[in-house]
Amino acid sequence: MVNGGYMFKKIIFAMFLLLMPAIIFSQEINQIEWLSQLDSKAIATFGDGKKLFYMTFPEFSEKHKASPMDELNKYSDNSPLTRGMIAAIIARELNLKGSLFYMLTGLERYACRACIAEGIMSANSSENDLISGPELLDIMIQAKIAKEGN
Amino acid sequence: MKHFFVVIFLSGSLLCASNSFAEIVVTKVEGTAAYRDGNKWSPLKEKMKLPEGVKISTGANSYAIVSLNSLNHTVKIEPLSMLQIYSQETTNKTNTHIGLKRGQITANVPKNESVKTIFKVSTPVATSSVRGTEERITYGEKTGMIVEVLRGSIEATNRFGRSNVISGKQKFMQISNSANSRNILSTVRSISIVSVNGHGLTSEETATSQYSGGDQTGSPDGDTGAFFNNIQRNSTVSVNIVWPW
Repeated sequence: MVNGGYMFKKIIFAMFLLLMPAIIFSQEINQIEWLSQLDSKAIATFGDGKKLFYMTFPEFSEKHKASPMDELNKYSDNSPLTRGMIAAIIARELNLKGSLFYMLTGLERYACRACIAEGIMSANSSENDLISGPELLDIMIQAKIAKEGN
Repeated sequence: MKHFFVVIFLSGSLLCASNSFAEIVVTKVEGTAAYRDGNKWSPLKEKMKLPEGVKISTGANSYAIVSLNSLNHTVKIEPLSMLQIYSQETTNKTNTHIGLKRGQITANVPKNESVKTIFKVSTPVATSSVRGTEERITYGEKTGMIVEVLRGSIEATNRFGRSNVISGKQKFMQISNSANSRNILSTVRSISIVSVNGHGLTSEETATSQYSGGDQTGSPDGDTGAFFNNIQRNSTVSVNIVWPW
């Protein structure tokens, strides 16, 4: 009986080892599929913005498990994403150079300005404009470039 | 009849030889990268050979390096990018065309005088043509196309046919709703020309003081009180210009 239990554990462990690469590959493909879907969205959601930000900057994801940021609980995940919402997350998390006024006032307008100054966002629209999936991806690519400085 | 098939086979072989597909091989993958395989995405793996017209997508914090032909033309696909690659090669000519849908790539095209090289990267707003160079290209819906030359020179043409040949620290920047690209020296100008403020204050400190008063903007000399009284005073500035560098 003891031997039977030991064998059972061994079989489970072997099956886990065999299935692990398949699970990892499916997770990777899920990310690509999700990015592809986001790329065709006319209006992104706040949830999309949060997910893409923490996918791009996983180091901040760990930090906020302990102390969640106010900006993350301000809107529901299904809310249509505005430039101000995503700018607020980027300005606070990346501690952008020009984000002082945003930190003082909490107005998303200043978070947008900080992002514009860093070249993360274009200057020709307001913080209340809704953003599309491709635009969200564009912003996150520029945020990554700005953070890594290339 | 036998001769007919021989002739067909030979002419087919000649046609293939004159315009054969180059070998597109994945040389490195870090993180999540996939290629379009029919209707689904499949994971990209090192040493994998890819078909002509392949679509590649990279995830967050991931990149892939792809060799495009036997002349060691390579492209590094940076995070969150999506592109399509066409590459053809004969003994005396290579023809590579990359369609960049979004993201950033770094293309490396070593110079080879004996082979005619056509290497183009297209985005919805412009196309860059390179020969014997290294360039970084970024495209996004709002940002537009940005081409930085890391080595050599390139020609960038927008969809209205207006072109710029750029090299060195020049940048080609084309946004979607403009007929002209930005000045190729605009980025050089923005790092070369700086605003000078009195009393050792940076431009940010000057802006802060205009909103909140002089109390919060202590200058290194400790003379904040004089700042507002003398805001329009003339200053002598020494400028050392080194051009070109």
